[in-house]
Amino acid sequence: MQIRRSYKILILIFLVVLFARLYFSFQTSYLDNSGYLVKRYSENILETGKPLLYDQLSYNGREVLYSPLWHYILSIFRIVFGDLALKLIPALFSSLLVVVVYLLSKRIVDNNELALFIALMSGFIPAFFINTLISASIYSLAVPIMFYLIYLFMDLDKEKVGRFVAFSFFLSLLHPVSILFSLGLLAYYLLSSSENMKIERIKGEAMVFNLISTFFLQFLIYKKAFLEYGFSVIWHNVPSQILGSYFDFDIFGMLYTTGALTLIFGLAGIVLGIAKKKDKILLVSGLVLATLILLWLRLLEPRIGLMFLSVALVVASAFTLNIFLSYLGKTKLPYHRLSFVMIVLGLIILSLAVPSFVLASKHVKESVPSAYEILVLEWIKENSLPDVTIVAPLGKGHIITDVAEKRTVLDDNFLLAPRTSERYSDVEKLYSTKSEVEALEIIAKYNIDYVFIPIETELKYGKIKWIDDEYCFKGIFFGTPKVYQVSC
Amino acid sequence: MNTASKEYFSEHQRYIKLAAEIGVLILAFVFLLLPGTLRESDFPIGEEAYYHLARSESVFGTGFGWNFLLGYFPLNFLLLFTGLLSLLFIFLNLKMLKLEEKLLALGFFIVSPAFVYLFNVGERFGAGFLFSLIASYFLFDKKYLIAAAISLLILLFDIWMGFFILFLIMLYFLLMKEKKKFFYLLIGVFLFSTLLLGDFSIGIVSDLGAKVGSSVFALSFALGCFLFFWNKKKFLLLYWAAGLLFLFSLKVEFGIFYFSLLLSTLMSICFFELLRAKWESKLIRDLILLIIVCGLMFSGLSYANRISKEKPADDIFNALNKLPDDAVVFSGVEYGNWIEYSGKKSVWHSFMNRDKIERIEGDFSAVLDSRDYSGVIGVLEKYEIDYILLDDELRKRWGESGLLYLLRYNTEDFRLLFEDDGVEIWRFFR
Repeated sequence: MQIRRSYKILILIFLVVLFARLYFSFQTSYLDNSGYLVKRYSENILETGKPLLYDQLSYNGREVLYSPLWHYILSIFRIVFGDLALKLIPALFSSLLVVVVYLLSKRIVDNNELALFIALMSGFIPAFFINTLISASIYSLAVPIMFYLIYLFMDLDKEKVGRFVAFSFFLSLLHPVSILFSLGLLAYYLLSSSENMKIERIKGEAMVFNLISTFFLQFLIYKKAFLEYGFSVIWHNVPSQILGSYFDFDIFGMLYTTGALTLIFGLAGIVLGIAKKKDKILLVSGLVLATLILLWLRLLEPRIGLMFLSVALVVASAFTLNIFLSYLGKTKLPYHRLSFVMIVLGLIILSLAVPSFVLASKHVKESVPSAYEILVLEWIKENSLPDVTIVAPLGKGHIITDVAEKRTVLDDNFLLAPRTSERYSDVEKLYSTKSEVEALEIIAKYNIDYVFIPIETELKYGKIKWIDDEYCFKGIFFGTPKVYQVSC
Repeated sequence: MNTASKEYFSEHQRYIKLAAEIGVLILAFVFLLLPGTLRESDFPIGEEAYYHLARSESVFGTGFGWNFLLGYFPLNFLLLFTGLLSLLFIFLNLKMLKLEEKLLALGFFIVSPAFVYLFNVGERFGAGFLFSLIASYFLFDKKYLIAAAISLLILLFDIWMGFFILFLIMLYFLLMKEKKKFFYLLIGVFLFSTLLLGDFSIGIVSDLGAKVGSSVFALSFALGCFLFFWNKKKFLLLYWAAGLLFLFSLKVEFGIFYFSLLLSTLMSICFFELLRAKWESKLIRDLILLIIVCGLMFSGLSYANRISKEKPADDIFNALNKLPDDAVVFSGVEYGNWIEYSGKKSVWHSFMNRDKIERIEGDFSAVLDSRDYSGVIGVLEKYEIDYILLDDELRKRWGESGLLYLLRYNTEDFRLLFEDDGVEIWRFFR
């Protein structure tokens, strides 16, 4: 009876989280820039049955390298739900995280109510909430799977080995972030060894398997990138000009997107877990440690690292809260216990839900193209030749290739892209230069037919002077964005 | 009934062994023929073979033993023959291992990038490697003089390889005679000179773009073996030897071939050790071993595919064949051997003395980087250049300034003679 009740509550939490996600994601009918890339790749699968291997529009035509599993999954759902699937399915997968976190917390603290509360917390982690909202993000599936793997690994036995192997393979096929899980296991091994804790034999075997399979699959999928860049592949061919800021880690941003109380309770949980030699907490700590090290070494984009870090911290906070609740029972506050607990838990939820909702509504407004932008791009699509090239800033590349279906000079899919640093510098120069000669040289270099000037670019560089030459540039749209056709 | 069953199983075992032997042989044929089959051009892979082919029958130049052999036997036949014979001698040399370990070691070596390179790219090292295996066969058979005599033959193919094998024979001899002081002294000298002399090469992993190297899976597996079985006595000598050869490979070009062979042997022993070890989950054990085998196969196959796409393509020789014999052609240093193979004279090639290459490079850096007309013409005249060969790769490397700028805009001194699929020949009027 008790189990049924908690399952009912869990389903309710799941539905609340799903509803909140759908509410925000359907505030706009568009996706963000990276969402349009996923859309285009899955469209190609729908049309041809095959993943896109050579992208004729990106970078004026270039090879692309990625694992197409996520795009296949989305394509299957798009057959049934159409374009709705691009928001619905990621929301569904990311809401499943509450179930995984519930299972994990229950295993850590063996307290049903607390586990349900932690599950609720995990549904509103800002870092995860906003990054999986309107981008058809692969992380909406990768994050729950990684934490499900941690759940399987916690009490691994012969019965669960098959499932562990299958999900381990699945995660490796899905996304290179599986490396983070392998490194987390490695960190767990080191932490356990340093605490003189013996790891069960079957866990050792599973760790070795995970390491080897992840390593193998990543090499198999990204062979070309390894051959091209060698060890430098870890920088993903990011242009040198933005490499420094690309991996920048902002502590205050972290406090806000992880939730200050989650961070405090999570870190306390990890410290207490290590001090009390709790194997399950050590496992979560391994993942936290691996994420922090990768963030510190600037090998992991903070936006991505924070998603995993904050979920891990929420899970670890279960341990602190459990100690806190049992401590309260021993104090002289038994009469006020309930109200005290409600205040603390309410604060935690507020520290997560409020930033989530604030950031989500901001993200939904600012990260998607405006209706006018879409109108402009659709006009270009209808009224220009199929092989024209549009120059746009880095953050607009995928929107243009998907909506206008035209070639672009650059976008943020850097792996295997040609001369990213040079292109980035040329595009920056194009928007910032005052010399028309210099601008025309760049225009000729990349065969640019249209210059797309969004409001962000004008705010950043000021008004572009050379575009006023009516002989060379014919204005087509003068709002935000502005679009000029190159005519000389 | 009992006896019949026993006989059945012993027969059965024999068939399994036979099937494994045939399997290894087929694998060898596959990896010896695959790059050639995948290749679109009929021309040999890479540039090294052309140096030897241009000097076939000659008893001069680097690797003159190989040059001499190429005068009498076709390159493809020689590569196949030396490859198969090498495998036979590896099999004979690994007599201390069980049959299944020997076969697996052979299999691992066959799929290694080193093997694919040795017997698909017509360099002199393949023959040298074969003779070193023959020498070690006699060495293990305690026929020291024959072993030393065969090692001397290696000098005909590559002097340094020959000295290296003689050094190994000496080490083995000292070990057998239990002269441990001298043995360790020589190891120390070897280690010291390996660390101090020459430059370290960073490209040793073929999967990360090295020209010839080890598979990343082989290196990782060997490292894993070391972590798992570091306290097992039977691995100790192999680890030491592998460590030394690894260092040696970072410095010396041919070191990687011996390192790969040792690595294959180590991996084979480790593989069976893992197979026999006690596992909680048989599923995990089988999957791990399967992934290891798949990883090694993947490395070998992707390397075979990679070298099959190596230059030269037909269009380079089509262009060169249009030029008169003995004309002096300037191009990239790695194009030199192709130019000479086609009967023309090259300004430079990769087998030249390093100092000489650097000197020519210094002269031509002005040609390639500056637009100074008289400077460029002066260098071209100094080297008596008649023609300039260009392709997409060189255009990308040399950029738009310097010589390429002059070729485009100076019609008085340069004229485009031929252009096909990105390959261009320009005439320089001296």
